[in-house]
Amino acid sequence: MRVRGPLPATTLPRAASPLRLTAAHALDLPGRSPLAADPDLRTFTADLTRPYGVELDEEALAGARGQSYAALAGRAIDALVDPARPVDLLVLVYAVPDVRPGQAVALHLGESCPGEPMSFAICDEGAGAAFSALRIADAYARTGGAPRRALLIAVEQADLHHRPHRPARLPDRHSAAALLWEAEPEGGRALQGTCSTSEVTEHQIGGALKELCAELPDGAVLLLGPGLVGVEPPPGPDTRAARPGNPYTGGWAALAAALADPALAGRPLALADLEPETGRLDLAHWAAAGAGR
Amino acid sequence: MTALEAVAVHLPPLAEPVELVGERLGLTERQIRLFRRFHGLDQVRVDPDGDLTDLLTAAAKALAPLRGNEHRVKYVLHARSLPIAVPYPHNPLHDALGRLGLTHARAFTITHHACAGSLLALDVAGRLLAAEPDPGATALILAGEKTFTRDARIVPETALFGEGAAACLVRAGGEHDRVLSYAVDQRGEFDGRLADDPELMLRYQRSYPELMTAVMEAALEEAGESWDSIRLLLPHNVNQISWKRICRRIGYPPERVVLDNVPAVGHSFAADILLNHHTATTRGLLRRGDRYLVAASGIGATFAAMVLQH
Repeated sequence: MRVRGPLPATTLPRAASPLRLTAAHALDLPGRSPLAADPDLRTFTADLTRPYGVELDEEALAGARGQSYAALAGRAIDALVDPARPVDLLVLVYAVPDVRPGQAVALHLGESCPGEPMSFAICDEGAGAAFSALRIADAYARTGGAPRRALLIAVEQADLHHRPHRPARLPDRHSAAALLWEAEPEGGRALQGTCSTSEVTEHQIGGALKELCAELPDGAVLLLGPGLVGVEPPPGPDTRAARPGNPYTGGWAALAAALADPALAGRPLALADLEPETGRLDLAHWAAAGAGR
Repeated sequence: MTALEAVAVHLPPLAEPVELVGERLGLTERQIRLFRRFHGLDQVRVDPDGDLTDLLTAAAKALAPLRGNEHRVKYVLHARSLPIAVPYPHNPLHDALGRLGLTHARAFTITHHACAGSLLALDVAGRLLAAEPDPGATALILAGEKTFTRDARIVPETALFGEGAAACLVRAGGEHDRVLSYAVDQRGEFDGRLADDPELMLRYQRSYPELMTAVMEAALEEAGESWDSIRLLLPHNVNQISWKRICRRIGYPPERVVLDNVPAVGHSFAADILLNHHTATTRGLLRRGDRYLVAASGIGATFAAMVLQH
């Protein structure tokens, strides 16, 4: 059981947050989950789509296509967490429905993750949801809610079991990307800032990105998420593009790759992404490894 | 300290008697009678012509202090019981933002705590606002869901779902209603479909009173309160009998548990505690300074409780 009193009258400034980004891991999980063959998936999807006049995808249902978020996130947990490093907070992020759409997967993950963390899920914000989860983990750290470790896991699976009413952003594979934050006084990277702009129209994207990136420190490497494919990079930082086939985990997978790249250890990192459905452009940036309290 | 600035509700106009709901679900006469006589259910509110966007929009529009203060809303959280509620990429939450003039706000659904999700949303909203530089920033919490599938219509032998909805405006600080504590107990061992697994159902039913009581008492202890100092208990609206049993167990007067909406509305997912808050304040059951407890559980299972000061 997690028990908390009233929030403190003053909140720690971000620079004094005890949590630092210490590890990240991205993975793909090919194949199909046995859960996709559960007849309940057809029943649920039929009930879900009926009021909206949306057709079932009989081919996807008959082929039992799709991957499980419990399996994807479980692998991310195995890669980043062990019993000696128990987690206090786990936030699962998704946009595309799971093959077991009625299951509270975050709760199931909380049960199996070392530390039995408080766990919940964020969705319905597209690519912005992982940035919201990042803000939440940061807010928990700064209000005394996650003293040791927080784990953020973004998941996406590639198969819908209905025919969407309009073109939908879908990944081309089943993937997960996870970030581990730890109360590490020396290691890891401190979150320096998050900022965002809403209601960004297509022709405003380049200008809005330039504006958000104006305050990035010298030497920063900017990772451009899948929502920014084809957008002209802002002047200044070196940029790297995320894999476009992973709209909801690609940016975070690019961050995991950058964290693991020893050549970038001394450089600040930033990640920007746009959710075209909502017009929200997000930016988060971290100090160089081991620096910046 | 997280504060609830205002709470509003929207009850769909159609009230269906439990007999009609039960018949549609294929329940036996005995099962229907059990819901009416034993569990204290009478009717459930539904809106067969409205969708989730309509439901959330109506709840937010009932929130008078929101009007003219839309620019202060930094976050909108839909506290949702069901992990998936519409066919992707439909997005009722963001559609509602458009109708409410809130497209500038950061909006997401917070879920996987099932019907205890509104307590989680209050905790998260309070923390997000506390970390904001603008002390005047607010968060809007929306709760309410559609009864579109069997699992969203009935908890076997326990509850019938309704489509009541609620909206709550939250601030990082304020005189009332201040959040004094939050306790949450997540029990993944109850993961599964209760309707298909009688053994799981039995374990859940047997464990429920003890786990619900434990989480409420943990919230009380953290807030430095006791049952004696708690003016009201605002529960989730699964049924009347389970709360009467818990009252007997803890020695709390059942007349101080707000159960008005159990027979009148139905179990409205994560909206229950906000519906009951609105009922309590509308009926004048809370005086300024009173401590009260809100408590809910969600299938999966999550048990949560919060102590607040009116």
